[in-house]
Amino acid sequence: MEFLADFAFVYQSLIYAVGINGLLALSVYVSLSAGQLSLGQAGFMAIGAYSSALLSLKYDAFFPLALAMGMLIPALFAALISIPTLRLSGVYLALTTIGVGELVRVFFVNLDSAGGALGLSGIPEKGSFALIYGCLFIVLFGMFAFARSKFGRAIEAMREDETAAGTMGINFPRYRLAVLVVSAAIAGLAGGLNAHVSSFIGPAEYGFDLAVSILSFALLGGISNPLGPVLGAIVLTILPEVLRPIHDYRLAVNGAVIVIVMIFCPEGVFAWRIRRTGAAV
Amino acid sequence: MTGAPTTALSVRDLTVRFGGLTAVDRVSFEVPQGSVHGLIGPNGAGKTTVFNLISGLIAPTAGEIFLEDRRLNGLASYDRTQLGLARTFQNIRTFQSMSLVENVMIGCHSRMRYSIGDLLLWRRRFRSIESEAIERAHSLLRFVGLEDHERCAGDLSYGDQRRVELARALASEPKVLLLDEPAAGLNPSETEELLELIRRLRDIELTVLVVEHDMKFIMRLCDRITVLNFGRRIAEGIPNEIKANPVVIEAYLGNETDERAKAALG
Repeated sequence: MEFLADFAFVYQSLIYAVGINGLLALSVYVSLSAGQLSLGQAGFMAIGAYSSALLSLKYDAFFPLALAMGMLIPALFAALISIPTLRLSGVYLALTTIGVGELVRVFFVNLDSAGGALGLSGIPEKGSFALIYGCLFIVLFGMFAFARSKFGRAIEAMREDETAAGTMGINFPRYRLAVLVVSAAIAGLAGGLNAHVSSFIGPAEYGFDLAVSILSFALLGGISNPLGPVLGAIVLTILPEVLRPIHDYRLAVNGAVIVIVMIFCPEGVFAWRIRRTGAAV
Repeated sequence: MTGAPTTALSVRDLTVRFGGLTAVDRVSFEVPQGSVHGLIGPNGAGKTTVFNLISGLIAPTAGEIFLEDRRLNGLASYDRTQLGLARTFQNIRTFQSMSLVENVMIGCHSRMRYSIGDLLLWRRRFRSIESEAIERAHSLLRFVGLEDHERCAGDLSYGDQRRVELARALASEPKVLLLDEPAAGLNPSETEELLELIRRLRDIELTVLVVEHDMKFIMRLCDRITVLNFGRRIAEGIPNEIKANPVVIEAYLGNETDERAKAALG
């Protein structure tokens, strides 16, 4: 028991990071599963982190409320940006969402009431292991349930062939909007949790590198099922810690892993197909 | 209700221009309820364009489309499906990574009425609608003659994928079914089975509009036929009239209206 307690103490921040990255992986999974390549997840996470942290710091808000607002505000922002992006797909959507992510980051760099480039510190540490992994479990469970309903099937059909899905009666513009909003809400939740376990947040954390890291979780794990991206996040979060002995080269290993996976296993490493029927049984 | 058949689908002066090209030029026809109507013409005549106009994938420059007495212009493809229009594609468009049952259940989508709340609370409504859809998917797959419904659609032969498309289209409970070259790539025995299948659909009062290049197939199947050439309607009538129509023969074979040409038309 003592060993476990020591382990938990030493690796606390890593354990938190694994859970939070798992949520981020699920947020990008939601948009990828509908065939929408979004690189704006870091931006949505930043909005979630800042809005919940500001509510906690400045208004001493009830924590669950702060966390809920940390989901709601990025979701509303996503709904707003979907007005111009709803017609975009593929590389155009990717480029636009990169722009959105940068816009958010630069906004926070210049937001003096949120500490500007220095960020916010002294955020109350209200997050916990149970909360982070509870959220991860609930989101994951929800996605498995979703996958086995008409909604999950519609999203999968859209990813394969949007035109054919449309002639099957699937209102794909509405699903695109829903996917973007839900994915922003999950990224916002990850941001809110992150702010409340690390006590400090700054705009530099939410740059383009983070957006690419989040995407790499899903690339490694694959998007055939919701668990894949989470496992991808676990591997890519723990790997740099395991590789500490090789110092500065450890992030290069993450890059190499992605390249190798893309060549030999383009569907992802954890790409088991899930049944999309049988929810009723 | 009188005994006279009502019109299931009608197209009036339908026109579409792509830049300087008039792909479909003032085409009109009516399909009575419960009949099988053929749409034929040489390559590039505008048959698939007419299908895309009817199913809402492209917007017409002019003209009107009616499903029964409901005007379809301006409605999105998914709204038209909701109203009772379904189609298959010339180049197969099954969902390759999904199982046969899942493919057909996508077709059920527009008839499955439950909310996200019903799903999250695992309500009886959600469960019963899902299990009905599974049953329906299995019985439609059996109807089109497919076994082993858990296979991936992508693993099936061309002919069997056409059957999946047909089952998927039927799953949306259409009033009017559009079939775009259903016999393309099928061998003679598969074509014969398809013919039987479509005849059974007519027996259950489904209205079918079919584009096809296989003349023997279309002549045996259809109640009436509309012939297009260069986007214009050049003839319409029952199969025997079409076979004997010199304008149609000329469109297909140029000027030589000899016996060989007639033989080619079946």
